[in-house]
Amino acid sequence: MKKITLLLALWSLLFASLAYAHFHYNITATATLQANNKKQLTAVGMEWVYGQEVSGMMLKSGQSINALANGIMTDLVKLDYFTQLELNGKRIAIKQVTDYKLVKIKQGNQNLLKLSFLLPLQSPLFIQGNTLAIVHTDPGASASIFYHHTNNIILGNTFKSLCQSNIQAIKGFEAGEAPELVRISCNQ
Amino acid sequence: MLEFSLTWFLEGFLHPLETPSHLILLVALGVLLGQHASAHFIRNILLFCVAVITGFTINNYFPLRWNNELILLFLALFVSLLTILRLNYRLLWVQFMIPLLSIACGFMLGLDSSPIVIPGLGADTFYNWLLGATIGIYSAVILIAVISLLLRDLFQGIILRVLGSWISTSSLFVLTLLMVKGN
Repeated sequence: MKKITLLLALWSLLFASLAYAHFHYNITATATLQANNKKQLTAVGMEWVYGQEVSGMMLKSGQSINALANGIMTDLVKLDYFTQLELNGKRIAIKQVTDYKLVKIKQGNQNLLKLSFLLPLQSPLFIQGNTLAIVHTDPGASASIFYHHTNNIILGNTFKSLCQSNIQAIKGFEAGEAPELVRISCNQ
Repeated sequence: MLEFSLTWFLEGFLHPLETPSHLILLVALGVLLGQHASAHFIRNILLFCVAVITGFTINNYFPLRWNNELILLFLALFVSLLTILRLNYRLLWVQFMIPLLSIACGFMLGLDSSPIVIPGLGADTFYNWLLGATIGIYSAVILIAVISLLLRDLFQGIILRVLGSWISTSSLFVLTLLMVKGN
């Protein structure tokens, strides 16, 4: 009897821990297309508002906002900024981000962090007559980046009359995979 | 300055238990080590522990692009088949095979464990996660090995062999699904 009690105790110890779930967090994004005088795409401006839980963790980490911003960008370089830009399905090369800012914002009664950065293209591109896709994935399977609405894709004066944005939610996306299909289709 | 974080520690601790291929292999190895506990039980556990750390280190510094899940499941299948066969641990090749399998399983589990990195909280999440994963993997194998040790002579060892057959069926089932998905 003692042996059975001991066995049950050991098994329950193993399986009780399974109730705890994997950590996920959401980011609400806004993307702004930037163009040069030749009407070529030169960069995509990103604004990411971190969810309440992860904002709280970062704010409680004891780092200053500047140190936190530098730390985020250093880590994001290794993770390809969670972002892949594709033109007709072909990946666009991007340069290292140098222009970034982290600020504390208040939404309702929540203290959140907003990260703004400019994702510069390796070389300017004509997107007229093509489809630009923005894909956000996290190899660590923790972050999910959402736009929710086409209002969060800002085409700017150059592309406003030429392009149309479309956001399609991906049903049953796995953690870390792109939760939305973000496409910007442009006429010639 | 690194600080202990329960959130990231628990994330790491539960990683092997939430990943089917890891859990199957941990149970398979634990049962085998418990079944063969008379032959250098502590040595095999220690070899396994060192191999896990080696796997973590290699994964961090020189990541290998292997199909880890497939290897983990094949290992689980092989280990559970040895449990079903309940070989005599006095045989020379069995004495050689069990430590070798302990090393291979530990190495593959370490190699397939990538810590969570939250940009901005990198070092904190990384080290706490690794600490949690190490303790999670060690405790799971030791716990299952101790349970199997207690059960190994019960009904002439049938219970462990039945458990071994369940594990091999589960590994085969997941392997089949993986291969179907891959095609």
